[in-house]
Amino acid sequence: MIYVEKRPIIKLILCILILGLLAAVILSATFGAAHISFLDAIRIMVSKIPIIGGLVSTDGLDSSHVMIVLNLRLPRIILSALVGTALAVVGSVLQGMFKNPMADPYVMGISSGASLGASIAIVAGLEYTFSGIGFITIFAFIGSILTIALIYNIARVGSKIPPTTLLLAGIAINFMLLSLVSIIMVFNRNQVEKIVFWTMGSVSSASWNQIAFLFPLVLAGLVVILLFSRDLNLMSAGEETAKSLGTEVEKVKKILIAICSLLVAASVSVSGTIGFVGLIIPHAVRLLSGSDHRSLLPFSAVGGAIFMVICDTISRSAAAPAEIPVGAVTSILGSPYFIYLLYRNKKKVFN
Amino acid sequence: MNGKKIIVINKLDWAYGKHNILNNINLAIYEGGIYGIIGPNGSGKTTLLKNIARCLVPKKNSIHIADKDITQFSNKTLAREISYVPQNTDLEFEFSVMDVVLMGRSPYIKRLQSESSNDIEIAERAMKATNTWHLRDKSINMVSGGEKQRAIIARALTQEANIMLLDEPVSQLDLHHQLEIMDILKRLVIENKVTVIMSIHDLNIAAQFCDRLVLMDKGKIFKEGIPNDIIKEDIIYSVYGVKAIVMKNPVTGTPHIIPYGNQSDVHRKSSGD
Repeated sequence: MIYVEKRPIIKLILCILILGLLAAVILSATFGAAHISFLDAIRIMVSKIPIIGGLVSTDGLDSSHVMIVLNLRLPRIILSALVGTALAVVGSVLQGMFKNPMADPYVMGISSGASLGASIAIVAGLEYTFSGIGFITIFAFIGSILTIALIYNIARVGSKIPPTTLLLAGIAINFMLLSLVSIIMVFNRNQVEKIVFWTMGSVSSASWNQIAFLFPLVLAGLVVILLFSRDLNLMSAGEETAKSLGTEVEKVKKILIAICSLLVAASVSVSGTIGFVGLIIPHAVRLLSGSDHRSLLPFSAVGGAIFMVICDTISRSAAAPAEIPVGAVTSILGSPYFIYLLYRNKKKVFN
Repeated sequence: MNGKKIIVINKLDWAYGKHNILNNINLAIYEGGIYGIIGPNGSGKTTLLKNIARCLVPKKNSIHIADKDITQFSNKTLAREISYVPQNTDLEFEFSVMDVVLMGRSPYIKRLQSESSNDIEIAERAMKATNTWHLRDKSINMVSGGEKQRAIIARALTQEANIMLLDEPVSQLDLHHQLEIMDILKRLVIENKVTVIMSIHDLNIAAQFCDRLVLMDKGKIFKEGIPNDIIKEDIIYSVYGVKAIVMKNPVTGTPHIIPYGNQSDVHRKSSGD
């Protein structure tokens, strides 16, 4: 079946996935030290939605429960969903654009710039917050933007950006910046733990302010990226093919690299480097959505959010009160599934 | 060929860095028919083709398509004039054959539009013309080389462009599939009024199917003309350095070349060992 014929089914599955995401969000809000039931969690959340919120009252609910859900659990859940969406969508875009199934959001070296920025802020003792956003986040964001600007200019040949050069420049800069982080750690032994934990990725410091920073970026980025879905289909058949079928390849590449960099920089700066989401979710959702980016991108957005919400719930409740870094959870869950996908493909190719 | 010039190439040069590939190419392509670009490896066949397809961007005023300078086209408008079949098409991800063919409609579809029923009909016709309709639901990565090449030709057809460029479309196919592709192209020229320009290595196939041949040597056009004027013993010897006998194909009447030795005769000596 061709894409337009499959579209009704794809829309249906997408709706089911969105319901699944909602269920995951509510369920996640019931996990934790305070026991809050599924229905109570729904009541608390709905009461805060404009317009229909007035129909639901939180009378009779423990006010500390309301506080826990709204101020502690929900920001964290929403932030992890946003990070998951951003990483998975960027992963899909980069895999299609570079025609490379190994591409992930960190392939352009952005995360190492964020790590360096965050490390500098940590050793400099910048514990202040600026309108609710920590200096570590701000430094990480600046670090990633500077890094991608550097890599982009190294890779650029005239007005063109050859994908291989971009990826190789990204790898080189990645190693260089991570070495700088190591050197910083060696000379600041007392901050090593903090830096290591930051790099492993976590959304434990989530706040509504961070959501206010990330949400508009992710939403706007997603909308613009969706406009280029068909161009991405053509580019995954090769740049020459895309060009000969009418895509302004270099222009599209610049726009998408800019948006992806912004999304990754923003997510990394609030959550650290969370691995595997951006690599594995695109491959996982392709089984449902097919390779057409018109369905792959929305599926990745929802799939990435579901995966991150589940992983973060595990990260904060599996060994409570201790926390497993969410980056470790995503990789532990992600790697076996990825290997399964490889195995499946291998069987398909060789039989 | 009704004598209307569809492509005019005027003093085209192309260099990769300081390395000159094409020198002072002058060529007029007339509407209709199959043009074969032949010549030894490194003679500039593919580079010339890519310049016409604008995969490589030529200098201003060196190539005109339908009386308009090629640099003046947007990618989308050019895609309605010229379709391009690259030598290899690899898709990293799974697309059905028909979805790949439908990609050829891209130059006509606006950003948020989907393929209309008209687009689907055009794709269906193109697939039937290239004998790929039965493959429509298969993954493009699971079909054979010949089937894939036909699907890509179908995609080029859906572009509804007057000019179709192909980069060595048959060089990786077996004899049967080589003839099948060439037959399809011949039919497209007659039925769809497409002008086909292809680079091709096999001189006998070129002589049999092409209406005109462009023989390239060291980045220049050595000679252009009908196969009978190009496939000649002395010309082949001076361009390829190959001794050959040219005879008349008893079935098709086109020139047929039988090479028997290299300039240096190394071949004959070593075969005697």
